Amino acid sequence: MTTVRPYRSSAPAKRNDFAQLLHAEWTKFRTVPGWVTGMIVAVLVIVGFGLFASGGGVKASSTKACPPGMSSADCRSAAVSLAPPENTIALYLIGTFAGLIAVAVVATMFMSAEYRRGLIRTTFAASPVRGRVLAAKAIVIGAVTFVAGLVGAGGAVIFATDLAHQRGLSVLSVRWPTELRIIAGTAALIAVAAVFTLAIAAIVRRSGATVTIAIVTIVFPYVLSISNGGATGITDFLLRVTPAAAFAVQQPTPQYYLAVTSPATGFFPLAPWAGFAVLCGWTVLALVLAAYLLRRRDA
Amino acid sequence: MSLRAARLSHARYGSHTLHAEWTKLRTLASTGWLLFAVAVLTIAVSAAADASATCQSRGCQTDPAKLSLTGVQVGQAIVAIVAVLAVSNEYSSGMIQVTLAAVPRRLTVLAAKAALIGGLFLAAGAVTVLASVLAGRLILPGHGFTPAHGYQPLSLGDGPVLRAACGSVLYLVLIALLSLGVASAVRESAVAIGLVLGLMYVLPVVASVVSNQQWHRHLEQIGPITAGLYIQDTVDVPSLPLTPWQGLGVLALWAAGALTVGALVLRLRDA
Amino acid sequence: MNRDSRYPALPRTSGSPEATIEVDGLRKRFGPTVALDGMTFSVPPGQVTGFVGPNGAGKSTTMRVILGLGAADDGTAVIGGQPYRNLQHPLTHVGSLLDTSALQPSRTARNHLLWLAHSQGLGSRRVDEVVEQVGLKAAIRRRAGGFSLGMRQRLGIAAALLGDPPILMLDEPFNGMDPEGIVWMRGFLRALAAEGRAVFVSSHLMSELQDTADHLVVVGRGKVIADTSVKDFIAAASGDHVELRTAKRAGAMKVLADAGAEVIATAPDVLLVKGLSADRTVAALTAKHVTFAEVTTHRATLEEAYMELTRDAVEYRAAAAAGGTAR
Repeated sequence: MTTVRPYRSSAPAKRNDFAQLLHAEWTKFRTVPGWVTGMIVAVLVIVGFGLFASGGGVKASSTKACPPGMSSADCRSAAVSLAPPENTIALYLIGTFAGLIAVAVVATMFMSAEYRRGLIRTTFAASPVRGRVLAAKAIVIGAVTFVAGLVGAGGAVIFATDLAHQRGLSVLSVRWPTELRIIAGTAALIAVAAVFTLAIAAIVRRSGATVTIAIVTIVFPYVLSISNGGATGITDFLLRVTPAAAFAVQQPTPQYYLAVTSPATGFFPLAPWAGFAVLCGWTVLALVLAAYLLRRRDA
Repeated sequence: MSLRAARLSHARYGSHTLHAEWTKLRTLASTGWLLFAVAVLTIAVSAAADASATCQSRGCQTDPAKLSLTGVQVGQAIVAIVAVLAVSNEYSSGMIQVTLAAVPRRLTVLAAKAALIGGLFLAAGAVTVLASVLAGRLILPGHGFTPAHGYQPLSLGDGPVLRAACGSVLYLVLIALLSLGVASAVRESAVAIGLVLGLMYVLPVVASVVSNQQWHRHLEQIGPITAGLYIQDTVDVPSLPLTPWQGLGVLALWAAGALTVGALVLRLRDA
Repeated sequence: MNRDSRYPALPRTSGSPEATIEVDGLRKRFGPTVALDGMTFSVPPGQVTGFVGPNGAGKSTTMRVILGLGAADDGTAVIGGQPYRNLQHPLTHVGSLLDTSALQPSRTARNHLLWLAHSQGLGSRRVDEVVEQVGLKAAIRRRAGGFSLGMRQRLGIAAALLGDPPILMLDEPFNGMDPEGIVWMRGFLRALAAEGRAVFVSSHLMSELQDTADHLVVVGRGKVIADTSVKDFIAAASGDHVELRTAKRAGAMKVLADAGAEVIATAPDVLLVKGLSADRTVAALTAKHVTFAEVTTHRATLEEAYMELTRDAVEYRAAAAAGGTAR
């Protein structure tokens, strides 16, 4: 057989950049219409809820949970002397948990769709360093959801406050650093929750299980505490320990005690950044486990 | 075999389909685990709620039956997931084409799945709810829910408690049917679960932030979960926006609606 | 199954290091099943190497191990001396197609190629080039979920060519292709090899590879059974024979046996003659005035050679049809 000169690739010899991996993952995300739609739905849900909540305030619930240490007599008199408004801008962000459900679905699909049809093999053939792939995916989904969260939370607060003023309802005013913390914190909460969901999807690989775990650990404790009208023993515990603790970033002023204490009025068992740290802790754990399993398992 | 003999009657066709669906469900390892999880989670959460409640004197406002059935609100999520997976697993694996080739009458397939899932959770739900009530009977007296404070130990002989328990079983069945319908319409498991859980959790929160009393009442009346859970109320029943059975009826309407939409999608769209 | 002694082992090529796949002693189990049992071979540049074996022989597993997608329990697989994961922009070294349905249905085919290109630092211009090369320009902006099997194959080839790699590794690329597609693929792969690339194609159907491959690596039960050129493979097999139809069976048998051939009677009037070409058979028979009705030359095909060799290595064999009616 005649010897043929071996072929040399014509592709430009660039350094293997993490930026290229990010670019690829971003292209992957933006080219699936369903995922982009899911993000838009999340934003609309958050804003929509804000507008809806702007028309009213918190229903005075029948359970009375007083801050620890206060006697019930003082509690009752405090409720009388502290005149409501019970509205804080935390109320207008009540739709965060609903937007989070949509975000959880999208974040799940972003990872689990690769496993569905063996696309993960194509991904790893293109980028064999698996930890970097996970990092790139996490950064992309985190960035996208952070922006979506900013738009949603910002929009909800701005439009709802506007609407409330128009209707003559008073809103507890907060200093602008606090307001910034609440809005940015909400966006950060959504972003980190999305990364958490992504990591779970890499661990569990099945989309149904992932979305369930995400919703049950992040959304459910929050919902439980609101719909049961206050922080009872079990919901208090859950709001300290589960990733849902991060909702604490939404509380306006920790020192503000009302007769009704619940996340709906912006009262959480943990301080804002403490709660956020709990979510971050869970996310880091999940990411480490995901990276380990990703490397160990056959694709 | 002659064709005439091979043409089955409707009843036999349906029963064969039912048998096939049952075989599908019981040969999946995850089904067993998930049912176990429903039971364990429901009972555990109910017991935890019982243990964390106290009654110091006469006239505490707690509803003991509802308290001991708190776990249902957690178990319902897993019930929803089992029901969603029963349908969406077929689509994700492509097995739906095999199923519909074996049983071309699509509504029969859906009906068989509905009957099966319903029956499964009737049985599993009965066991779970019974155990929850039993836990309440055992735990609550130790936490101040004594006859001295006006609370008899929970007993199924008591009319309202029996109604709460049976109603909770039916509640789980209806949640399963609702999820089945949504999954048939949507087909993707993650989206279906997101929708069902969203439906479950969003309306109660929406209802609680509305201060307008009328709006609040109406929202609670139409929400599938809020209305459905009235079945568990044994204290202060006349003050509820709907009677317990009416509440469960609202949930039944939701389930029927979801199943209808799911049936339409199944019928009209390509597999 | 031991390496067949008829096929001498080829020396390890050192020709072009960066364009050679070298596999040495790969072992892998999946639980109790042994998938790879000491797999060793090389894929040099400039030719099409066929990777053949019965179902379950370990072809796909080997390819996955080469690409670093699965870890081998023992042994090495290197590309130009490097394991796959050490390669910078691996798609510019090895272009692979393992599974044609590994696509996101709701994404367009062009976007699928686009994200792959981006991962290697390439752009949409390169995407358009490969689309043109495989002839998918008309359909490229459609949803990948709506692609037919043949289109998915072409899309997979396009993806493999994105990085313009010197090595191409394709797992059963002929599967499900229509005759026209097979002809196109065959010509395409040969052209790629003629450019100096190493083309590694797996198949379990010999008829596809007969006119495509230059070299064969035959595997069975996780081991290499033969590693040789296609020509030698066929030649070393049972070989050609002549089919003779005659009424004078006994006479013909005697005459041909005297002429040094091996003769087997396969039917009352059909003889299988080995060791003699057709014209020598005819000459021998006419010299002795033995009449015959028909003489046919039967060339050994790759398929027959392969079936003979891998008979023992076949994992799954359907029970022989009893010939009765189904219950």
